[in-house]
Amino acid sequence: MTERREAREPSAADPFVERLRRPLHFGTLLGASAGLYATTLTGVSVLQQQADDGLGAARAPAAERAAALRTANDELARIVERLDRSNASIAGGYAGSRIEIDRLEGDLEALASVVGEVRGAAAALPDRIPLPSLPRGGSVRVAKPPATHATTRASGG
Amino acid sequence: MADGQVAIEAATVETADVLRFEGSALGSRLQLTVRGADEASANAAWRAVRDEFAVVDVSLSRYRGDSELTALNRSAGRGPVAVSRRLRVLLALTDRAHRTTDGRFDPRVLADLERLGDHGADLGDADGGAWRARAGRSSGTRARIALVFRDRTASIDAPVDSGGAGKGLALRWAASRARELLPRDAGLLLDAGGDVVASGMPPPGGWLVGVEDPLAGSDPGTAVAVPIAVLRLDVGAVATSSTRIRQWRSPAGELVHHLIDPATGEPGGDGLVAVTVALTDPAWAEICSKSLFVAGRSRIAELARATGLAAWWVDADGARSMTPAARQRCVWVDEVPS
Repeated sequence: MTERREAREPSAADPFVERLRRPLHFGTLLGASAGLYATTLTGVSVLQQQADDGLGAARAPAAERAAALRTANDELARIVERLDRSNASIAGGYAGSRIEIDRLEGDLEALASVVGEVRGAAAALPDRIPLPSLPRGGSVRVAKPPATHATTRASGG
Repeated sequence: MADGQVAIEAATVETADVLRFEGSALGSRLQLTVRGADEASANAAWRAVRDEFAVVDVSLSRYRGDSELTALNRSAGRGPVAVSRRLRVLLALTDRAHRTTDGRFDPRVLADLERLGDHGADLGDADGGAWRARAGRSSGTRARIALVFRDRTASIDAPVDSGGAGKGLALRWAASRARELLPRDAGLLLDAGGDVVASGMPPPGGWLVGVEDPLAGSDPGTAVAVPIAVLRLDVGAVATSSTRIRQWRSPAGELVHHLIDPATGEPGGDGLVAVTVALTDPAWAEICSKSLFVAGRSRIAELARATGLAAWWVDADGARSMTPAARQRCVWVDEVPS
């Protein structure tokens, strides 16, 4: 029995066989390493993708707020620009009004001067002016009334 | 000449195309002056005027026992009764006048007139006789004179007096009817006992209307009464409230007149003798002259000027006054030195 087993199984120490098996071992080892590497790389990629997705989802509200703030800021800038133009217009109007007020003040001063003169003239007038007496006899009518079409009178109503 | 037509008097303006008619209605003289119309249309206008005044008498007189107003007064406080268009207009007018004059005009002074001795038709036990007890007590400006309903009925709580407002309405309606019967370029002047209305085309220079001097009658040396002013009236009305007529002794023996102050129930217009108002409508001219008169001498100037009315008035001392609007209407003013 021992001889038969020896005849079927070549000896492990056979160098020829060893030479034949060596490349096969290298290939197997290389394939296994590559498979392991690919599997590891895929796992890492999946984990990285999941991390990126989580980060993007977490940043989305902040990004929306930033966009809204940018829009509001643009609107404020437009309002400020408009107010600036309005302010410039009001300033121009005020300058014009100021000129008109100055002119009116000048007129008032002139009027005050005239009033002062009138007051002075009035103060110089006598309190009472005697008039010549006129004869009065009964009812003096300036003119006769015109003929009339009707007369309104006590109607009794 | 038709019935009632008279020749033009010497003292009036004489023009070739003027026709004048005279008669009487509502207890006073009625006079129609027409210009620019042929005799046939002027006669038709005069008939329309007399007919309108007759209809108003039947409808609005408080002295007739068979008038519609007397029937309404007898139903006072008993709910709505059917009323004609003319009576509805009178009730609506007096109700509005009562509110717009702050109560100085109030047709419910009928109870006071009866108490003072100015008796109209017998009203029996209208309002259960309670209206007589209200004499002398102001109803206030909030209380309604009448409720006028869409189904041509109306109800009153106390009997009412048509008075000058009724005559003013008669003038309004008569002038309107007469004007429709005259040619387009004709005009008329209608005078009902001193209340005057002009309609249509006036003569060149307008209708000239004198304002009576209410104290002229007391001067025996005055042969012809000279007006205190002459005003020009193209279209519109002039009315006068005066104590010169309708004065009598009350049952208590006092001299009283018909212009009752609703606030006191007694004759009003303290210190005034006459008030004249020129306005567009004769009924409102009557209402305004009466409400100004009732205000008395102390308040009339303020009220008349505040309302912008053309008003003339004479006080018991003979002093004459007018508003700026009245002065503008005058073509002549009696400048008697006081």
